[in-house]
Amino acid sequence: MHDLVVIDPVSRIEGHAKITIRLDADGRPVDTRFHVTEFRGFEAFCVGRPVWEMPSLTARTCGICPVSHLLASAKAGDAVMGVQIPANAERLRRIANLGQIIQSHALSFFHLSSPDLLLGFDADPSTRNVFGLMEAQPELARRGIRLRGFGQSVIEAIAGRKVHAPGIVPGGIADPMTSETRTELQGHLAESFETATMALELFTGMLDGFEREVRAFGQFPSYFLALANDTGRWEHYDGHLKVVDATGAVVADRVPVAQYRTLIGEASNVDSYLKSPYFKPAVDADGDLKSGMYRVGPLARLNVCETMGSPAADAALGAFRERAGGIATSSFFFHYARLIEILAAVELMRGLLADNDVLDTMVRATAGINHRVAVGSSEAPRGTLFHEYHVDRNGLLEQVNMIIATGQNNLAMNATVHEIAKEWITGPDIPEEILNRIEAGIRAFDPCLSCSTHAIGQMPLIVSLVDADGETVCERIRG
Amino acid sequence: MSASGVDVLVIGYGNDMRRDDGAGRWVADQIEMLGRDDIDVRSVTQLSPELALDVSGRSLVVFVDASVDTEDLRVEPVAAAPGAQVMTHHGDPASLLALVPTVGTMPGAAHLVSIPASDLDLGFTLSPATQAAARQAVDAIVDLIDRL
Repeated sequence: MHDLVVIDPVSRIEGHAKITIRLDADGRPVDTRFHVTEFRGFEAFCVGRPVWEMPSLTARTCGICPVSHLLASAKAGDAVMGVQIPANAERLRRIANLGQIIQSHALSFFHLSSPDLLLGFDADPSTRNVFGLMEAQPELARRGIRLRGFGQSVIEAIAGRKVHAPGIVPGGIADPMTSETRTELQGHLAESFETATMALELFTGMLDGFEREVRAFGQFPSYFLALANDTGRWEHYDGHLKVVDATGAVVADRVPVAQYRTLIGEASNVDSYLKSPYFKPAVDADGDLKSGMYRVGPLARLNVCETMGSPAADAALGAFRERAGGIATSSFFFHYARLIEILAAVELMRGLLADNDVLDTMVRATAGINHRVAVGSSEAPRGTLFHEYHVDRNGLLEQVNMIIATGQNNLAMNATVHEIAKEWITGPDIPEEILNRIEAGIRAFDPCLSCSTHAIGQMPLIVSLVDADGETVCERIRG
Repeated sequence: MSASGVDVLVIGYGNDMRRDDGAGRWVADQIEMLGRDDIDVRSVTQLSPELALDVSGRSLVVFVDASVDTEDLRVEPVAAAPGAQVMTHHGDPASLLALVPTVGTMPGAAHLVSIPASDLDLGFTLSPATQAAARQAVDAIVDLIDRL
């Protein structure tokens, strides 16, 4: 006899999801599935639109990480035109993406995950939220809001608007940066650095208390994929694709983003609108989808890079690797990696803004349609993002493929939730503290299901326990 | 006093690619086009935590949203109430207001303007009924501000 636990909907993530846990006769989890239950189909929506319109159109895929779509789309547009954008356009795009990383990671850490980490997974659920955090740690909560506000200001300064910004375009950037804007942004750097450092120290100081979570929140081997460059420095905007395995061995490197299909295959699921991308060479070798599981995002970027490229973040990367014992394979360390990326983003932005060339007014290349197929890629806060466009002679979209970070983590999210279920579920019931850990396993990835399916609306969670006969024996709903 | 020095803030929010759901943003754009120096305007997809920084210190904050739960234009005061919704795509004004004391001072008054919505299909234009209600909302908001 098997039982099934269903968690539906999953809360404190972006979108709408459900978790089903199948139990054996002894009440132990034998299989766990993470389902995304809403659908938007943005790719079909884009067909017929002009490529020039795609950045602002695809940015509407998500209100949380619009810059990522703007960048991937604009870069696909650059490739359609066949232009090399001006140096300052790349500089400004990089600054915008750093702002995006700061604001998105700040939301994930300070607002979505800190309640679990700082108040405890077993804390009263009525206070285990950002308002409970405000009571317990008002200074941290205040700084978290201000840090996210800073990230949004950076986006607004370069892209023209905080959400669905029109300023990042095929060929570069619509408007150069003024010296007043630069001064304004520079005025926030010291506080942002201080906040990032404070959060990192707080988190690392708590890690010893989360030994069980580190072990059970998806500590398993997988591949890690991210953009990389020839310097070995942390990359977030351009470069080639690089994949390492759980031992740190490089299994693919210097793969042009336009050849992403040689690395990534996509499997559809009968019970979820979220596809399961996989590392193609591994699955081609043995035919098992699970052997192609890879992770993207902060954890992957830190496992793929050699250095962060800035002093404080490099010191933090050293401590991170020491704690993880080399390659970090626990999904719990996504939180840790996110904080190091915030620190790096602030440090790197300081350097980019200090360069007087950031005020250069040459920020846009122009050209007509010179290529019919193009791929643009950037590192979204949640991982590598691909936009592939096929256009006609007039630049109208004939085919669109978008591979979103959250989808690429789908196999790993399933595996993470199953590890958590195995660790904590012992019978046909889901106590609150276990429900919250299951949700937290998903939240560690900071999934954006609005982007990846693309679901509209809130992100509640349903968790169900189902027996061998297919009967639901326990169901918990949150959201 | 707010960071910008302007007393009144209007925040229109919603998805402007889902027809009537974008009514709040349409209203925000109309208010912006009035060009009044005494009104700051934000047009956003959702209410996210950092908007608390913008709300802080205002004399009046007006939230404008589409609603499928009303058949008539509604203008009503809104008070701070902690909730979890500010952490997702679906932030609500009460939860956002509850964040404000953490980063500054509560606004003197806050109102929620709810515009009746019925057509949430893909598209950029408002349905005729929602369009009419949105025009009324602009007048109602200006009246609210002028009575301050």
